Amino acid sequence: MMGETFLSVDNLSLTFSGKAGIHHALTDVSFHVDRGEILSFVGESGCGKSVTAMSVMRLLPRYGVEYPAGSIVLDGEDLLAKSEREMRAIRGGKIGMIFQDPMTSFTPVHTIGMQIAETVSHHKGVSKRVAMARALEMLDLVRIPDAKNRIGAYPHELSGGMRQRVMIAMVLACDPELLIADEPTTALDVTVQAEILELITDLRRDLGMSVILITHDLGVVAETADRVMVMYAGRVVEEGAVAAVLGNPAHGYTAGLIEALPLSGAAYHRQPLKEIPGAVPRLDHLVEHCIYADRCGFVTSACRQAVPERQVVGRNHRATCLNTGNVTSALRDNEIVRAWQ
Amino acid sequence: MPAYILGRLAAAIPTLLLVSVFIFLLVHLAPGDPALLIAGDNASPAQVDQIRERLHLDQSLPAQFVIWFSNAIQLDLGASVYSGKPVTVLIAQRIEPTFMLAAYTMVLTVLVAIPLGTIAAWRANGLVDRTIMAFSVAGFSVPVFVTSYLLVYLFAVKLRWFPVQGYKPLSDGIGATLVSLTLPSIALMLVFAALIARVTRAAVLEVLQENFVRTLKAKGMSTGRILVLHVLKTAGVPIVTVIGIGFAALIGGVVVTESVFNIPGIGRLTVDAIVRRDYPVVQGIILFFSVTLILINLMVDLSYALFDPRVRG
Repeated sequence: MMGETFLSVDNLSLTFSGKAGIHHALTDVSFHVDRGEILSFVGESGCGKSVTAMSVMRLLPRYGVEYPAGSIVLDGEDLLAKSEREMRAIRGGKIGMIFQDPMTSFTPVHTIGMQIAETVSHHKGVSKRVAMARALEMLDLVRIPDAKNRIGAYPHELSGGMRQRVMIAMVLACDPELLIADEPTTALDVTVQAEILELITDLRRDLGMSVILITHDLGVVAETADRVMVMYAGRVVEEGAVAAVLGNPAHGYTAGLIEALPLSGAAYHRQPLKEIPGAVPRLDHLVEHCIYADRCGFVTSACRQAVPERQVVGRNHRATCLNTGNVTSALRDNEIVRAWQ
Repeated sequence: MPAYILGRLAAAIPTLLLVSVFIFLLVHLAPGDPALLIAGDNASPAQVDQIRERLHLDQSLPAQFVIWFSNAIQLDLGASVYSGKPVTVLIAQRIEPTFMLAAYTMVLTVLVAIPLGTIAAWRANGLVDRTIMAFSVAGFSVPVFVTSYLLVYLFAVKLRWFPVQGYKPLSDGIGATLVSLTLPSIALMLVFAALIARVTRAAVLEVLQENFVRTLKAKGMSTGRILVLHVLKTAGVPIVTVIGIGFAALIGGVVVTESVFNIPGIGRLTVDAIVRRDYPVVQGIILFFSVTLILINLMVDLSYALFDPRVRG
């Protein structure tokens, strides 16, 4: 059913604790993914994109990881309450996940056919032969040329782009209802990147699955996603339809990301790239004000007094910022923003 | 794949040559005149000369080597100074107990060390890991003869589960052979397993950090399947390498163990030959062990292709 909420994460907080103390990796993260839509997580390294995805998969280590608050509900079921055994049926079954580095994401000593087939056997309980037939079908689906022979290939015999296709084939072989793609194109050439993104959007359309696409590249978001969630220091700072967020950025951090993009054509040479000043804050204690205040170009005294509430900026568009109007109007003339209005 | 096998085989030949030169020199450069020794105290100079001629000791060193080497490749390693029997016959008579002891030890070692090392890596730095590694240090540090006597005291003298010493040949039935070899094999295994468990732990721990393990978890694979089918197979190359290297240590251990348990194997033959300065026998045994080691290394090299498709080329 299109448009129905499939995954909903509410007020999720996550801490890592160890000898070095406590680390607030996620604070009050809420979002939802509808059936059939592509939601993109954007933000710099360490902002919590991958940790959020790994939490949905329950793939984080058992020790030292705590969820002090919040819930992860997939198709009406609370994932945080699931046992490891129950999660093993969901991982690779209802939720498929692909990773950044296709070069190292396969076992080097088994054929790709075996690696796809073992997943199918595990989740569908079918015989080896049926699983192999399914593997071949999937390799054809992701447009691997000469799939009949490639099914017996070892990972090192394939190129990076080919391996990422095989990874997608492997994950989709069990008909997941949600695909989590964690920087699926970061390690690939630009041309191969476009092919992989096209493949993901095509398959989403044909198979009707939901997708969470994790990236640090706003260009990828613009090309691929329906909605975008901008994360910073373990929090959601802005979230909404891609056109709304890129056309009317309402959080200082989103503005910073957009301004940091290289411009096209002549403008590219005329001015240096803009950067966001300062560094990401330490997350060893929770601050009682806006987490971005120290780096924000739009900061006011109110920003340092309390954690801002989430503001509804427009239809399908929310930002955790007190100065959304100022941000939006300041970015009005930006080339990228104008293109989305 | 055939090219890989041929390449490995070809590489073994110069090694064999070098080893044989080395073994030849080792014995011939040792002080003392073998001819005098063989002739005994009451021999006349003429008799000594005769012996010298018979053993070609009057010829130059290179000439002696050529004679020795061409005999050796025809499996003629000379005769024992003590008993006059051909060295090859002496070795052949003693192979069975030694081979059985080594094979039994190897099987026990693999069955004990690889699971323990894998579990230690999987639970790295936890209590289980620390316990296994502490036992491994102990196993590696205590000499074979100490563990041997402890085992004999406990399982043979006190509990009477196994014989105190001796060897039952295969002609008495494999069951009897295995019972007679259980204590010596365990004693040897403790040292050997300690080494293999440590290397297994290190290799598995390294592979566990690899991205593909995360992929496997994300596919919903069980921990057992991930560890055995994926991680251990990937970690196979270093583990098999050390098993091969450890074999050298095992040969040293065999000599001591055979003495302690009174097993009539090559180890005992070695000790007897050294004590009697039976040079041809010593030389033959060293050559035998060297060839065995080279063959084991060859097997290790060939097994790489079994574990890792990237080696097959």
